[in-house]
Amino acid sequence: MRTAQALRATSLAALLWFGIAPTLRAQNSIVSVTFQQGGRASSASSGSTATIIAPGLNKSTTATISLTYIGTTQLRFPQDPQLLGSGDFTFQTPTLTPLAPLQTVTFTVAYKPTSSLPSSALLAISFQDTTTNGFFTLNLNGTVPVVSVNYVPQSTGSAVPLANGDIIPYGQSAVFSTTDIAIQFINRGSAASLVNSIKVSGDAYVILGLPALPLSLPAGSQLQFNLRFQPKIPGDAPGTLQIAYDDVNLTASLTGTALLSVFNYTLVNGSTTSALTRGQSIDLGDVKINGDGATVLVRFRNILTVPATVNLVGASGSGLSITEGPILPATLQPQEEASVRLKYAPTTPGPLSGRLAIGTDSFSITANATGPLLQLSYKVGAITDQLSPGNTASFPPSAIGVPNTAVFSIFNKGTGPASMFSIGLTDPSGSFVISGVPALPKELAAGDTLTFTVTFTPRITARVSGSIELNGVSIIGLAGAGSSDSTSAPLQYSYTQSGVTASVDPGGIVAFPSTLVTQTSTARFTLTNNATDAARVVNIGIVENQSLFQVSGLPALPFQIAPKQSIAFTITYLPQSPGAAIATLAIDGTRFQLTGSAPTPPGLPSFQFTGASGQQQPFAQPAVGLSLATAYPLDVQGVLAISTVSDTFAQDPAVRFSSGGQSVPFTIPANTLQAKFPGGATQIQLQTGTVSGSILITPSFTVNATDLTPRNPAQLKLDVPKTAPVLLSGSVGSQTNTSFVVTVSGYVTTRSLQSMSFTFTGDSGQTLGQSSIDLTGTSRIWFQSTASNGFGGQFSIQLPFTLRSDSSTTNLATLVRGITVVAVNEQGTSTGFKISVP
Amino acid sequence: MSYSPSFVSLIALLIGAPSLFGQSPTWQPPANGFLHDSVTRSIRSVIGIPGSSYGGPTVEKDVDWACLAANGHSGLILRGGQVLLFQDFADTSRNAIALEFGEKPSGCLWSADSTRAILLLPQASSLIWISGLDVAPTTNLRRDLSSLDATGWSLLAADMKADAIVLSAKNGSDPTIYMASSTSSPISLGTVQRPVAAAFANRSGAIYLADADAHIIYGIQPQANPVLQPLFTADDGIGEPAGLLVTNQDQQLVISDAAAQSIRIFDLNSHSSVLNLELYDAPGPIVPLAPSRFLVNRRERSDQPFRFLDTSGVFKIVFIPVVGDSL
Repeated sequence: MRTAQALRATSLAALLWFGIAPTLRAQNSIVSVTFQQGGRASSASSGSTATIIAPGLNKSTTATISLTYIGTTQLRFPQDPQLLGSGDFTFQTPTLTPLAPLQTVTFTVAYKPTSSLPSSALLAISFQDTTTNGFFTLNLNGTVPVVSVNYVPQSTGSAVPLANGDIIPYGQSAVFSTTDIAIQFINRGSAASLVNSIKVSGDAYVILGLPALPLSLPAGSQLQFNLRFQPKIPGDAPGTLQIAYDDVNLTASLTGTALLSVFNYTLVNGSTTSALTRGQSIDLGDVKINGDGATVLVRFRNILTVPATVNLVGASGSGLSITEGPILPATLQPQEEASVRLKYAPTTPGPLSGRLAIGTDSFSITANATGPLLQLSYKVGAITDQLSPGNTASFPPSAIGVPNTAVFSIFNKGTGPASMFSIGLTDPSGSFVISGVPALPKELAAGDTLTFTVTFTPRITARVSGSIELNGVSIIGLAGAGSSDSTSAPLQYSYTQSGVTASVDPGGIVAFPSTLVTQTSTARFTLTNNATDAARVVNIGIVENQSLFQVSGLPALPFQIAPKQSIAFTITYLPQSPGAAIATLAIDGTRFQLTGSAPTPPGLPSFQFTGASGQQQPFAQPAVGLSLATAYPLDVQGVLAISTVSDTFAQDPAVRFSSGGQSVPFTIPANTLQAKFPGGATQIQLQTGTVSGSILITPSFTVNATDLTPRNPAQLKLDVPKTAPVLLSGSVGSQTNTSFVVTVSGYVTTRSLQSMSFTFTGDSGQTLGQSSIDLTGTSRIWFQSTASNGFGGQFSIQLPFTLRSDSSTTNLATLVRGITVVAVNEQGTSTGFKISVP
Repeated sequence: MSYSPSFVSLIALLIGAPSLFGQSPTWQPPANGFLHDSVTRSIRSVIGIPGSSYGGPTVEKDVDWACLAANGHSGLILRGGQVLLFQDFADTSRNAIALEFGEKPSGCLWSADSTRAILLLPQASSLIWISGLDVAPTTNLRRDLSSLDATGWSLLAADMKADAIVLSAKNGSDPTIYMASSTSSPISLGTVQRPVAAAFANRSGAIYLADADAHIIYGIQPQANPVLQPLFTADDGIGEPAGLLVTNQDQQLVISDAAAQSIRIFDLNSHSSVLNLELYDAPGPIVPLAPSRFLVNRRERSDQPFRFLDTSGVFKIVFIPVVGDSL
């Protein structure tokens, strides 16, 4: 190993222009160079720049340059590699010996920065093989991160340098209060600093605003985050802050003390004064709604020996408010006292569950608001609507003299009784009549309901309005519309299809155009209120549960249509199968008939098979496909099914598609030609098996359950011929000195074997002997057996052999080095299969 | 020409044919091993010789995980939380041997002779070398990985003896490649983007590594300071490599490419593509399941076959369809 300090940069030009002749500066294609520092590796081309990053000032790091010879002869180094430039770099090179193809030599460069500024150097390597002279240079750029860490307390705002082993003090705080200290991480160096981890221990401490780590902090940039002290239990709260960056591990201790509360509390409720502790419940008792309410005073005193600050005073809960308190933030000197006045003025009955917060302390507030709460509703037909004070109860339009009745309910869902003195209505036209009102006055207890009836019988052909009064105060409006023609209705109906609008009377037909299965037709149905009063619609829908028609785009039911206004919605017809369809559209009591029809899908265009056809080899796995002559407008589903006609009266179960079955589904997407098989392929493979005969592939087609298969669909016929036997494998086992067993496997498409012949050869390939076996009988037994049914024409046969010789050699089996086997059937003789004897 | 004494004696060798000695030939169905069907969570026998065969009846069910040996009839399975060794799925008289690891292995590689295996235990963050799997399994070594401060270990390749291995793990932001063996602790080879497969050259010991996101096949020479050397890149047509195999006496590299849905074979001497075999679905890792048969796809749907690379002659892809248990 040789070590060299980098030469001065001024000699670089001389090396380039005088040490290396131009004719030697050839392409570097015979070497591949990798630069690696730590786990960071990259390919390097000649003239490129590689950066070495030191872990810190005056800390050394190394990088390796691995040069691999990718030529085919031998690589030599005619002179030693050179390193030029900054003295912060040193260079180690191994003893250079010629490299064989794909062999690698590795050089090591060390970098020990003496300043935070970047340094540079240049590495030059010359090499040659039998065809090429090459020269490789690599610019080295040395950089280093220089990091300082500070912490900034809120109290001073000044940065304090943080060194390993330092303490960051937080002082005293209340439990659940927060105190933040900023941590600054400043990189003043020339390389990015790798911040590996920043961890804090101690339950009271948490890091805020920290980006995801590890983080590369560029040179000249700063990272800042907050370290928060937020104790959850009283007492001393120690912790540690650990920062790991580059090769530095910095640990600082964190100290702080948490107090349960920094205040002493007193509760003043009327003339009663009592001690109060944080978290305690303050019960305000029963409080009448809409009255003067209840008020308490909470006093608090700073019990620390240092000032304490209150940043928050607040109350939550319906009806709760703070009517008096300190101006925030409020700083209380030791033993100084402040107070908060809390008022509860409920407007609705029910229990109160509220809270009062003072700083980090809080108190639960309970009370029970008492009083009635009335809920009104009315029912017309089967529809019930709730009403709020000031709402109007609308009655359906009605002809003169035709009554319409609604039942009104008043339910007291409050916690106190409601006094009922009078219930009545006002209606100048006399169309509204109230009845069924119970004897008054009475108290409507909490949970009780009072009902009465209002009947609307129009006396005039105009909009009529009135109101219901409770205790002499109008609480609900009444509205209805009267018509002079008892057969006419204020609503008119129409529908629009393909830009054409047609009127339709109640009971009329909305006819949809002929629509292909899977496609849709729509109609826009419009209700127009031609009356002078608003029309109320309670329900719209298709009467039948299972319908090919759907209603969409409806406004929320029930709804009102203002005079001279319209409401529209969409009816969609979605046929699922060819044929006629009928349904009923109901708009309250008005009915319309919806009709549509779907034609039988058009006939399928002609189709053809693609891929394999005609005679196929046995034991093969060809692919077939199917395509239409012209595109079809709908998705076509189909199945290819295999059937076989065997020459040997035996079916081969291996004849099946690659998908596993003897049938396979496919889809021809609308407006395309090719069938898509499982997985999206346009062809499907199948096995021809090992039995001679014909394989017939028959297609069938459906479009949305409609069978479109032609009466006699074209079939794809694959013919598997009768052939001589084929031997696929062989082995020798159960070997003794004078015997062994030969196992031969293969197939024969005729499912019959006549004989098998064996030629035994020795070391040098000479024939030692031959043997032939008649298999006519035993093969017939095998191929007629149940055991062979699953294997088509395949077989595996074991034949034991014994060896004899007149020579003195005892281990005769070792003399046999090879066996050549041929099998014969009525179609011919197989190719010889050679078995090596181990 | 001169004759050796043994040659003279061989001329007189008489071969006794079975029929001449009253011994009948024995006929039987061809046996062709077993497959792990993750779709049906079962081990299934192969009926017939691949090329005209199908995945037949289930021999083991409720299989949560399996790692089959290259001999085609041995394997480790996970059932009910327990790892079981089956030395021969065909031999129903032999009981499975329970191996206590305390967790499901996340990686498993067998030796070429199916007697040894390496298992990666993710929770324990350790590697286990086991031998004697054909006779009496013995744990030879357990190597702890937790000291390396890395997570997400993955076992990528083993040599034919199941001794030296290639692993990947997350150590920082990028996956790191490690090399280890039963006698040496893991050493880092550097980082890549998404390592998916590796393969050993059995003769030279060279390692090949596939980075799916970088579209690079790296070569690693077994030397003192091994480095990741890019050998094939996108310029060579590398898409999304998913599996690797070194064949033909270390002369050829087989790459399964998920992007191209094909198997490509490269000549390592000329660095050129010599064969491209199209598939009908995306390939996965290349797993030996017989001396010259390698599983190249993941069967993820019930209508997918198993696909194999057959290297016994001219390289070709054969599929084995899988039929229902009712057949």
